Amino acid sequence: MLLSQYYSMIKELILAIIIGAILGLGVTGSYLSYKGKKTTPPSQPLVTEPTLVPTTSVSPQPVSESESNSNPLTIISPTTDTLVSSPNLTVSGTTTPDSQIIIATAANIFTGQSDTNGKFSLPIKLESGLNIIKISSIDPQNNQFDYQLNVTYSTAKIN
Amino acid sequence: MAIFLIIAKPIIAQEATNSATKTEDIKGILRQIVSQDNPQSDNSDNTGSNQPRLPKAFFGSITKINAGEITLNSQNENRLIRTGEETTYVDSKRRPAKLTSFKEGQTVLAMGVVNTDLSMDCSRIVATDSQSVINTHQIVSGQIVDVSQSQNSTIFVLIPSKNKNNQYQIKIDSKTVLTDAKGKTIASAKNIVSGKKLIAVIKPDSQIAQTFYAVRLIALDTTTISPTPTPKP
Repeated sequence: MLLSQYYSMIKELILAIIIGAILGLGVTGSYLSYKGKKTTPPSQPLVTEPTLVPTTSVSPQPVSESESNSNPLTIISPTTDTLVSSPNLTVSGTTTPDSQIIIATAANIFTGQSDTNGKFSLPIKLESGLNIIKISSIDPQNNQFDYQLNVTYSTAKIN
Repeated sequence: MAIFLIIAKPIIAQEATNSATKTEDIKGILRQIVSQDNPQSDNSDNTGSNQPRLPKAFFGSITKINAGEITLNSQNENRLIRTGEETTYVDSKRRPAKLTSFKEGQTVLAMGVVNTDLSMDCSRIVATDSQSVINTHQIVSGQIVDVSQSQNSTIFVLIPSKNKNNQYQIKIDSKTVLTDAKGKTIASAKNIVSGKKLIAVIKPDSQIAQTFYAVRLIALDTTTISPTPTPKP
């Protein structure tokens, strides 16, 4: 009798332990699952975090004010840093139609107009050595667009 | 208790794996961003400066001198200038010089041909003072708001169309060229008046502070003579 009661108690104890363990696992699992969801960063921070990277370390492209996206003044020829062996140079490009074109070197001023398609081509004269050329177009609404380029005139032999 | 211990281990391991994966993800994104922002990784160049063997001239200051090469900071870009036996050197007084004559910080004009890797095979390096090449001309389009006359010159105030908070005090004299929009020379008396719009090519005046001298003026709304009305019978 005592033995059967003892076995019954053991059974109840084991059952209680199993139920307790199941309940404990359930609660712990739910809690960890909730915590995991809460701490797992969503996809958004993965995208935003890299913006903190100092991208300034990458040397920027030499962007003059002329090269901003809103500037319709584009110089087709010559490109900046061009080296030429003749003082006579033609600056050609595109801008807004019927605009005044002003080209200023350190020594001279040259003027012209763009055509109805905005194209222009202006002969200029260079000084010996480096020429910092300032180009402006002014449209009929008095909007001004600027461009600057360096052209070197030298008769020295370049290999 | 043993069951809890057995279950707890995989949870910790899983968190560590998640953390490692997250770090790898961030590293991958960073690598992508750096590679996108790095112009060196992109062979295309919309300026056309990477075309092979183009004769070019770079003006800038020397940042480093090594045997056979100079690093030049030109327009905020570092350029590798390769020098050799055929490279000639000219100092600031136009005398022949050597590579050793040049110092870091000195401004030079390097002439040569540019390779596909954007380095220059240099033929000639000329010491060039930055003040000697500066272009002091400014091109300003705007409207005259005030005019004052003196014996030898006229001074007017121009408000630029680009920045109406700014204003230029501009002096003109008999040497200033005034034209209409088509390049025809016109008289200044009728066209340098308040309210007129013009383009001014100016440079700092050497005599009066805060004043510019107009080299060229282009009147945008020139005075035209209105036709005489025909009297009706």
